[in-house]
Amino acid sequence: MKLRFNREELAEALGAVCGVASSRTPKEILKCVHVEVRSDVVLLSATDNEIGLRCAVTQVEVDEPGETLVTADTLSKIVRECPDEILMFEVKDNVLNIRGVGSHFKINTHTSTDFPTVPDLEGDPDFMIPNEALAGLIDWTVFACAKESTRYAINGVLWEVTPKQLTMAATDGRRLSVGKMKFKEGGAKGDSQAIVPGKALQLFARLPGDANSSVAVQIASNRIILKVGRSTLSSNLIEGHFPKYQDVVPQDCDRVVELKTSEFQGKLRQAALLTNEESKGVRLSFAKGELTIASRAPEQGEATISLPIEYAGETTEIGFNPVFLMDVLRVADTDKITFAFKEANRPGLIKKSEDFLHVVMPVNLTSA
Amino acid sequence: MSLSNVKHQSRAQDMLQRAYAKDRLPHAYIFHGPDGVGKETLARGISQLLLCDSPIESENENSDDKTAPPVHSGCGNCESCRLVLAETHPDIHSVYRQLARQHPKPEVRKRTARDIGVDVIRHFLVDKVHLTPSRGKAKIFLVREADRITRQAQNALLKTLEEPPGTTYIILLTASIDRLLPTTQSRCQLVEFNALPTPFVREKLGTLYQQLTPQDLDWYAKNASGSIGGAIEAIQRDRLPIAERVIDTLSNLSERKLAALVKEWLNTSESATGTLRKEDPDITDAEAKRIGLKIIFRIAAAYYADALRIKTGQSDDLINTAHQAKLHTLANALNHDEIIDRINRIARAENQLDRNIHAQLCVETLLGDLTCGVPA
Repeated sequence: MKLRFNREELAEALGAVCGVASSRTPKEILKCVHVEVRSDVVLLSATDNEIGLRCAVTQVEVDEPGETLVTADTLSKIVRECPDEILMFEVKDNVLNIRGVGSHFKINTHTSTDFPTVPDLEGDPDFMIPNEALAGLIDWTVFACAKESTRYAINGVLWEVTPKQLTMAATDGRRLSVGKMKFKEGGAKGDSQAIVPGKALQLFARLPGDANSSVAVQIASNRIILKVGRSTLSSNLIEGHFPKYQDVVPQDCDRVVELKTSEFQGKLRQAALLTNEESKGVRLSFAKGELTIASRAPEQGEATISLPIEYAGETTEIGFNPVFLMDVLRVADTDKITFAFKEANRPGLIKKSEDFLHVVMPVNLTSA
Repeated sequence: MSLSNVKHQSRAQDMLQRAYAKDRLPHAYIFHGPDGVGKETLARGISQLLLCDSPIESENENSDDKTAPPVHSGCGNCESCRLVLAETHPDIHSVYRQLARQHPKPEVRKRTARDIGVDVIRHFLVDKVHLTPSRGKAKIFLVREADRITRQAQNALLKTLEEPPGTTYIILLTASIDRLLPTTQSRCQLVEFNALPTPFVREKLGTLYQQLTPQDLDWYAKNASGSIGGAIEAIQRDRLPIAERVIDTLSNLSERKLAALVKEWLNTSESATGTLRKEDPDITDAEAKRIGLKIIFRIAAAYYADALRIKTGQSDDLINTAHQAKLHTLANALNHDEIIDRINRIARAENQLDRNIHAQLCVETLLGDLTCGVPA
């Protein structure tokens, strides 16, 4: 194997791939990155046995194809520290030689056939989706996933694919986020369903990619493959049954108010200053023309924040965990959101548009 | 590592093969039996078979039973098999106590990993069970030294053992099954492994260690009580000189020299432990001492057993063939019951070690008993 790399492009690809290679693992081989050199492209791949990532590097001049396996961390550091524009790679007698101007590194390689294959897209994808739209859906849902719940199925985001639309849902038992996207062109091949670990989606969101490009998606019985630009991410799925989230979405919220996202967010943040572990709730009092947010922390003090709203319904008091409300406002990149509710003991419904809704359970404030 | 290479465990082998042929492999197994007789080898073989893309079937040559089922095993050529053999297959998860060092929580990493704690079981087994297999067919969890799983961790595992999702197989490997909770045992299919026949151990050692003399190999094979793993460890740790020292003290027992002999045994036990402490930082000093003394006690017991063999006319089966003269002296000096009594005392001392008795006290009592015999 012998070739020359554009250092900058290689560094970027390695940065992404190193995010997957485990730094702490009982299997030494998983600390490695697999470098496969073809005639005009180099494929870097790494896996932690759950998530796999392949990145193609195209600005290369290949003298001799081949493959090798080296420790990801070492390689990435060397590439980052070299100031050169071009780096030369050559494998001789199981040693990878990296040469820049005035520098020469020799790294021991591992047996590349022992490395588990990192899956690639095989055949046609199930559907294509604009990168921006997918990023929006992930953003809207992934924060609501449960973390380390013993109800394993909710530790991921549910993907429901029908020929016409993709729905994503995530819940941790106290809140639920649902996002939908109708396919504009093509559509999906058929119905499918998968629970994708939150970790994989967060990693995907960080991949370098052009917002205008499309993502190819393939869902198999045991894995999902997402391909955007030169990167292909694959992940195991979570086994289990996702709860029937449709039943949780309240249908009878008759008290509706439109709120300015940033203003509401700012006021909530103020009120949240005086909450603590014991009184995690803020009290929202909706009255004609005014919303009052009240909070109280025992032995510290209390806060009352008010803001004008356009509300004409019945006066209602309802308690929520401010962290949950701020979480959803943070990902809602619109000026206004719709907030719908019914009574103090019923869930609230926040909508960004018809396609994005969030259900949040109220907290009981009677004792506070 | 193909399944047909596991010899002399036909009961375990046949049981697994029958279940596999009927596609009725239970999802939780306990493989129990002495260390170093092929439990993990068979578990890895079964894993390879379960993950192989094109399993092969061959005739059962090992079993005496004519009705024994044919042996299914992994092909050894497909990518799955290759990864299994390289121990890098993403769907085989080995779980062992040292994994605590790889745990994401720093406080777990800092603890000494003497047991398989609840953090290790949760993170490396229970949580992983809920992900789909990476290569598609099944996922297999091999838990080494399963008797070291703490009580809490066993309880955390119960639900998973009972009904793991998807195609999951969990195999617990242990040399002392009685340390597993009854609730754990009852959720698994038990597979018993036997000690291997000495001639087989001798033959294996012969191929592995051609540099050793046949006499030495004989000694190691006979002393291993049917465990290849045990014999290999004994050879690697060079136990024969240790045995010489032990037998030397046993043939020089006298009341006047008792203190010196005790000291000698304690020193010998230290050299028997060798570099174990350095290799495994999770072993405590007390535990290392116990391991060393047990080695000595076993050698001593074998020595007296030899004397008994001479007494009963089975001189052909002697373990310590190099010490015929000393053994004959011993056999002449003691009567039948006296020898048996001494073997019992050694067994009892070994037992006491497990109950945390002070090591020096234990050795003093034992050597005293061996010297003076039983007061009538």
